[in-house]
Amino acid sequence: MNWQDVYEDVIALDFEFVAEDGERQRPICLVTKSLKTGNQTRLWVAEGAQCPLPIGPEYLYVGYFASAEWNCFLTLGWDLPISIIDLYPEYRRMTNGAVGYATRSGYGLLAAAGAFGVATMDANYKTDMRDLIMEGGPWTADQQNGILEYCATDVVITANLFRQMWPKIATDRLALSQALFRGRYTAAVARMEFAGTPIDTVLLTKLKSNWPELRLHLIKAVDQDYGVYEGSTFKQSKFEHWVSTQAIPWPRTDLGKLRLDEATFRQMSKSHTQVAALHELRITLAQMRTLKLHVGTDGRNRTLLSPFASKTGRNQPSTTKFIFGNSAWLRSLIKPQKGFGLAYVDFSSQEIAIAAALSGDPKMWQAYNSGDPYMAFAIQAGLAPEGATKSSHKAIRNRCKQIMLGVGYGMGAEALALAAGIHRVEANGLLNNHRMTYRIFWKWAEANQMRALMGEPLATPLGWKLQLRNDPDPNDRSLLNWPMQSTGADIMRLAACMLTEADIEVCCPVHDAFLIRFSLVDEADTIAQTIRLMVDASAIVMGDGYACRVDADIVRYPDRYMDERGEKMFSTITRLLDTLEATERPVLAD
Amino acid sequence: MTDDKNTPDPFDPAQFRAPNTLDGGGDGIRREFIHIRVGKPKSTVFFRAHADPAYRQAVYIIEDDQSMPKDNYLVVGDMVKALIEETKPKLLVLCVDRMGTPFLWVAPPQAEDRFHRTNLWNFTALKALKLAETKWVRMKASIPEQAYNTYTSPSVEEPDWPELSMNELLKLGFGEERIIRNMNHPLVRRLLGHD
Repeated sequence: MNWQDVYEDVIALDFEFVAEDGERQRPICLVTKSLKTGNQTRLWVAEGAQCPLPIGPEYLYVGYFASAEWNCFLTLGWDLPISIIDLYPEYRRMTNGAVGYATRSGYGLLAAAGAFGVATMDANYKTDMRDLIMEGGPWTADQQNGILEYCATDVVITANLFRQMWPKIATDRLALSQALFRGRYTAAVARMEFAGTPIDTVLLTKLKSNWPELRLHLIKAVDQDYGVYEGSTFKQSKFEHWVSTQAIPWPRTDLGKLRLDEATFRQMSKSHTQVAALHELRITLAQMRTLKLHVGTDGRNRTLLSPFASKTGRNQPSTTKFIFGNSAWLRSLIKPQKGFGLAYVDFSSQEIAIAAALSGDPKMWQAYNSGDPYMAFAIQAGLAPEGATKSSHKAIRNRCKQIMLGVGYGMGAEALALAAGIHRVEANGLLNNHRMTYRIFWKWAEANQMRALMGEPLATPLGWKLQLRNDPDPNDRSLLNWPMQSTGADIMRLAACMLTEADIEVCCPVHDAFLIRFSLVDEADTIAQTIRLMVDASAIVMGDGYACRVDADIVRYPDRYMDERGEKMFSTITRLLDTLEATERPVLAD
Repeated sequence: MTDDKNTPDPFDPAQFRAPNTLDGGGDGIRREFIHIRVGKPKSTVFFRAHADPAYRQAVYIIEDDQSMPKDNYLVVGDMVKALIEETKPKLLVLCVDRMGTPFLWVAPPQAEDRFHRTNLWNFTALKALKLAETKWVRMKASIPEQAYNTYTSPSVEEPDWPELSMNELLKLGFGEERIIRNMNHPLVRRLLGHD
């Protein structure tokens, strides 16, 4: 297929922009190149400009990591193009599962160009020019010309890379349409990044300025139940004593010492709830030491969502800069402004729904459809009687929940035992029960796993792909789980497109949920529309009449968002903060 | 949208959704059995027994007590007569567990011993075998009762039977090593004191 047969023109483009922490991008200049005529347009846009580009569907726009370009469009108040191919997800997809050049060189423009034999610029030149741009100006006329020249170099590379990649992208009409869908998603990403998440900046400032003192009070308050700190120092020997008094089978290192890494604390606090507060304290102390949460002057948390960064095609935003990557209590900084509300709208048990729908396992779908798939599994497996409920059979439901979620995340018996706080034998038994109950699902999942291990490509309904190449040690568990996670990513991408195109203000995606902001005047309509669009997106991706359920948790001004796992810590911290602020402090002489 | 170019519509799911990309089937990959277990059903697993006579075979077996667990050797042809003192008549039955793993159960051919006395172990094992033709059964030895206790599951799921003939199953179960065709077989030589 020639692009000339499908498009009036293909326009490669690149912006240079200033990106300060938490702020919207500030575009500096734009260079475009028409593949039809070879003409270049160079535009200095630092003081604003009218859009000089035709954006009808017959014009295909090509960029590399194009969400940055669309962020600039939004800052400039321009309409976004309709037909988009972003060569970054295309390159990421083509190399997904391959070990070698891509994993060594990364997924930047120069690496992709290198892989396709496209001449590139010197990496040092690129770094120097980026540094000059990030200084933020003002720039001399010579510097402006230099920046435009540099931008044009990137555009030429992008255009040449497109020519090389096009035959692999547009292998047929379906493949091209799927690439366009990924391009469409980069526009949704830009809209979400542009919106950002509203933060209570007053409280954030108080937290930061009082932290040195607050920290000591917090340790004292939480440590009352543990006795494992001396001042602000965590003492391993005291922790050893606490673990033995609680009779917790804490994992140890080869040298017999207690494991103190974050992953162990996370797992242990799931299986032994008494560990949770100490875990939260340790995370808080580590995170607050170097709090990197990016908040702009408009009070929004804003960071790169890093779309397509994981093998499953999911976003991978920074865990420190992104509010939902931080500890649960810090998320209580999320607060709508006056007259607005926020809704955390999530797909209910998305992985289970996808597993049931794609494998066609009627029993698993029946469990999902019951509204409580964990209890349904317990009943189907004969572990609880017919009619058992969440309140009548809490313990077995919790175990079944861990198993079902664990299977969705590709966990084995060992990890499941740790997560559920049960013996390995019991975890193995439950896993076997799962296998016996959902035999159709397991047959399907293992057949896909085998295909992947054979080096055959796996692809989701909307075309995200994985193909193992040169991997000396593939993770077979994650292959088992890849179809669910990746199809979940398909659903999230489509839903993000549908929501943002319907002018719903999506602050950010959060794994299988979206945080949206709405005016209190339009609350009912906006929530209903959001739910409907998300259900529709899941129905389109899963097909055959299957659809996910969607739930919404709503917060209205003056309330704040609250994650139940961080509620206790947040209330402790705000109480201590109030006490500190109420304490009269001596005025020190200069 | 320009008609002459037939430009794809990025907003039309019918153009970018591919059905059955992860159908898990039709890929030609299947579990190949290169060995199957020969012995009693394990006390911890539920199993089903094939009711078709084509998947049952009366055989003569020598049990090697010196190996752990006991090894079963299939005695064939004229060797049965020659080794009549060493062999025991048995019934091989194709069984499969809930994970779809097949095994050949070396079942007793009848409940009575050679003196026509009912052996409770054999009697209860054969009862379990009969039940396993239609139900998922678990069989566990009870030493105080000198018999097998049998448990059934209410599950009505049909087992995954392997697509193999009884001949193929015998080959996979015994291999050439555990088939006694002549007096030079190492086990025979050991039993007759030739080694």
